[in-house]
Amino acid sequence: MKIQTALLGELEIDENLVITFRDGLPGFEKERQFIIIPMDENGGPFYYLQSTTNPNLCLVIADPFTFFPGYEIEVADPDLQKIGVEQGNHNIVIYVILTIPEDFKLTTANLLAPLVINSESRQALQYIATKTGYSTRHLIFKPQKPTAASAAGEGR
Amino acid sequence: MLVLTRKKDETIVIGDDIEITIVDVQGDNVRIGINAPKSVTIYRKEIYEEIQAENRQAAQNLDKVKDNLQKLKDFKK
Repeated sequence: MKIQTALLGELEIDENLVITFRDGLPGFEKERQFIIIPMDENGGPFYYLQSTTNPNLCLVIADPFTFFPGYEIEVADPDLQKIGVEQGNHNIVIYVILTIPEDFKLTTANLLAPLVINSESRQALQYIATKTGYSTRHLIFKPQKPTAASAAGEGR
Repeated sequence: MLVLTRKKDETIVIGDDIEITIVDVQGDNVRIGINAPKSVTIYRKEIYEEIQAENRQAAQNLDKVKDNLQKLKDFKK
């Protein structure tokens, strides 16, 4: 099927790859159908999450483990059931939404509310991990370390 | 909006399977106990609003920083 996008123009996509967010995304509750497109032909860690019905709605998402190797979330069973994940089934993919400011080096990831996708049924939800210490804004690039010279100059 | 007055330890029932009990009241703070099926999602409203705001921000900024996407990719390499 063909879809229109503001960012990437007209795209030919495989209908079978469309992801359904049953409850939409917070802030975009009416948007249910999305497609994930790698930003780079070779794959991750950056992807577009493009609405298949609203050309203007596109988010940049990323594989969180590339930037935060220790990232951990526990998704409650009822939430997994909502997207059709049975016990012992591991077809789960996690992405986080990025907020990219004008200075892209200050790009942040929303670790508080990751996207949880059942890669088999292609059902998804944005999970709000309330019991974690994560927030909606974690810098994905470590701030540049001050050089020895500038560090030595501090406080003089 | 339906407004009800409840005292400590009193309960409100919503539908067949949701019960809300006032556990404690201390000045401005009200502790609430909720019994609901696990399939019902319960959040503090401000957390849900924070996620809404962050998602909108993420979608909105994309338009402004289209040119930055290439830099973002390259920076990672």
